[in-house]
Amino acid sequence: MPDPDEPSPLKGLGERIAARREARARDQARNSSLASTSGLGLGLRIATELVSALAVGVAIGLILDTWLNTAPWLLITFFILGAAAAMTNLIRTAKEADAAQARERAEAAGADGARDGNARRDGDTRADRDRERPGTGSRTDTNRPGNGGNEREG
Amino acid sequence: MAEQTSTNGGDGGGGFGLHPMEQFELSPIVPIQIGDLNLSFTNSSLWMVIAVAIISALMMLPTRGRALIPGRAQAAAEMLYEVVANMLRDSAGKEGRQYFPFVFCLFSFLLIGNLQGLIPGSFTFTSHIVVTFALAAVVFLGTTAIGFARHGIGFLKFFAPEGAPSWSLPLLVLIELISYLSRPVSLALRLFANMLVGHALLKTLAGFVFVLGIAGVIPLAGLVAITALEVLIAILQAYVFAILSCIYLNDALHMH
Repeated sequence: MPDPDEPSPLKGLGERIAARREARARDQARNSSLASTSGLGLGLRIATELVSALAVGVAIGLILDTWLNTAPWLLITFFILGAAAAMTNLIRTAKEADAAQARERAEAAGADGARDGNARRDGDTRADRDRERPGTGSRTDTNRPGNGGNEREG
Repeated sequence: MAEQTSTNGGDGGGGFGLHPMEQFELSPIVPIQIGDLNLSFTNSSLWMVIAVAIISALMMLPTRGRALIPGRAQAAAEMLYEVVANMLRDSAGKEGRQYFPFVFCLFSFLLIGNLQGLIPGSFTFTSHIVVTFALAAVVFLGTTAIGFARHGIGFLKFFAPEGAPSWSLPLLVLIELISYLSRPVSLALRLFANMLVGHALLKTLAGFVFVLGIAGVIPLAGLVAITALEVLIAILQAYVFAILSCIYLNDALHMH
């Protein structure tokens, strides 16, 4: 029979699990920088995004031109629009990469704090990170729950 | 890759008759012709079937025992599961959970497909834009359908950036539309180009090894390094494809 005076082993289990889970999420966010640290991947991603937006613009222009017999005006228009879309994509990707990098740096700082055994400081840096996130405001960033370490990259 | 090239180089005579693109040729194994449709079972189909078999074996055989403390194979299967589950949760949130089976199939199929392509003599089905574009089109049409199912006609607001002056809207909507339509193209293009370029590069470099004689150790060293890089790229590109699908899914679920 369990001793009524002795604190139940289940007491605080929820907190312990939550603490472990948080620590694990932090570790994962740090270790999963596979994609974000690869400059090659990021470069290729930007290159394909540039090319594909332009290609889509040109394709729409060509199709509309043959359909409406307006060659070459719609091709020219949609070439320019495609180039604009490509630039939009590029800026968006670069912003995301920046945000991911900033987050990683904040996380690295947070990890250092944890290694010092200074729990309070660690908590502070995590709060900093949370504050920082909304400010990075790329469109995929909003509404994203929880630790956002290892998302989108390439 | 080197072994594979040596036989081809020999066939071509003197190593100069090397064809770096030969490895991407489709050859029918079981020719099937229905009307005007060529539905042959090709070497590409064969390696797709092998990929599915590998994934099924990896997922089902080690987990049959349902051990509480997993063995090596079960740990690998669970790890793959967790990678995808975390990816989906981090980028699409709780609502994304119900699309887990699709994302998991997508990721594991591409991962095994990319990795088995590095086996000498195998065929990389992800190096064909038809395959990657078909997958990207499924993702694109699926996420668009989810977006309209979730938000109704309000999903069209996705194409109108917030806070833009109303006179610029027609222009911005067109640009956003092109940007949105370019998603499947860039998704398909990235995977296809990475695979194609990597394999063509390996084979071209392998050709130099035999042509240069004793100095061939230099390209050989390069080959070793590039093969390692190709392993990284194979994993990375499968990951990127899957995570971008998750992000598009997130856009469809939550808009922005």
